Amino acid sequence: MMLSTGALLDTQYRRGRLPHIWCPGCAHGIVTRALAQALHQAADRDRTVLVSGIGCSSRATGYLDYFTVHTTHGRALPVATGLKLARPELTVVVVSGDGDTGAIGGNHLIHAARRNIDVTLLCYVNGTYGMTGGQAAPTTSPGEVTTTSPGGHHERPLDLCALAQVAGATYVARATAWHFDLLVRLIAAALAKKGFAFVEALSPCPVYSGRLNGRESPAQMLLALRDRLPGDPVAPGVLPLGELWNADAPEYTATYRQASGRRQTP
Amino acid sequence: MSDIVDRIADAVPDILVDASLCKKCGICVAVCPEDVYVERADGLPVVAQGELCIWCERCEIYCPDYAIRLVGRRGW
Repeated sequence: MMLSTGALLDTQYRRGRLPHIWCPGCAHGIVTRALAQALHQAADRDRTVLVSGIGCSSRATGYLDYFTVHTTHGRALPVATGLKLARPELTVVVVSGDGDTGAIGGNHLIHAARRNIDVTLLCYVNGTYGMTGGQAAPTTSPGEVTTTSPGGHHERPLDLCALAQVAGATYVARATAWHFDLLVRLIAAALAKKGFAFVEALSPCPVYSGRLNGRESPAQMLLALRDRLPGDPVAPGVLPLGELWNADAPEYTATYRQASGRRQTP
Repeated sequence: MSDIVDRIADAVPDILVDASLCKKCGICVAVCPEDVYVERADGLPVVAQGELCIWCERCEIYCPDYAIRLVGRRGW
């Protein structure tokens, strides 16, 4: 059942920490709401740990009333890996941004996916480094003006979902802040998946990428996501939405325990 | 049956905007399909025509600051 705002704030949030630090109109609040809703549906609070790195999105762990760890930049996945390996019965969720996951922690993403460890990674993608002043990120679209590319970004963007899939993740999905119900369903499915699950949530940044590119209003940026439907054939350069990959593979903590059991048996 | 539902259900919700959480981004005003809100001069959304609300919950869900609550008993 969808939680009302009142129930959400009472049961899922650290109410005293609000209002949050995100800028006016930042869609991170909506994505965090989707995460809280999915956790309410699919996770046991006493058996769930949220791990985050550094960045705007990683502040989310500070507002959610769960066991949380706020780690260093890009290193949320290593902490989550250690946690899951030591306590395989826990549901471990990593909350991270595109800079955290795709650039500084890019290597950790590849290897967490390769190992197929049972961790859910929710990546907020806004295509910029909002917390440090709007620098270009690996996911910035070509042509976008950022504070480090005033003449327009000229690099090709990284498709994090494709990267996670080829690296070996067993569940890969993408939604946007506008597609709230879809995002909740995808996160809940990712939480239920036994294996590395990667969910990307497109979350427009109205202050840095918006203002610098003439998209003044947060509502406009949110509504611009509306016409994209999951499963639609997409034009080159446009990212598809919905469940993109769902496969089965041996899970890391299970195979690790089997292997270590074999080693210890005389 | 419908009589009972009519008696216990509210036609429209009470729309509460928490000014201490609102950051005046204007999303609720823009996503409302029924012109319930108007933006005050300082940007704060004000419920102008609450009776038009169709209880779609867009403003509640898309408010990034959790400032809007729709309170009432729904008939469905």
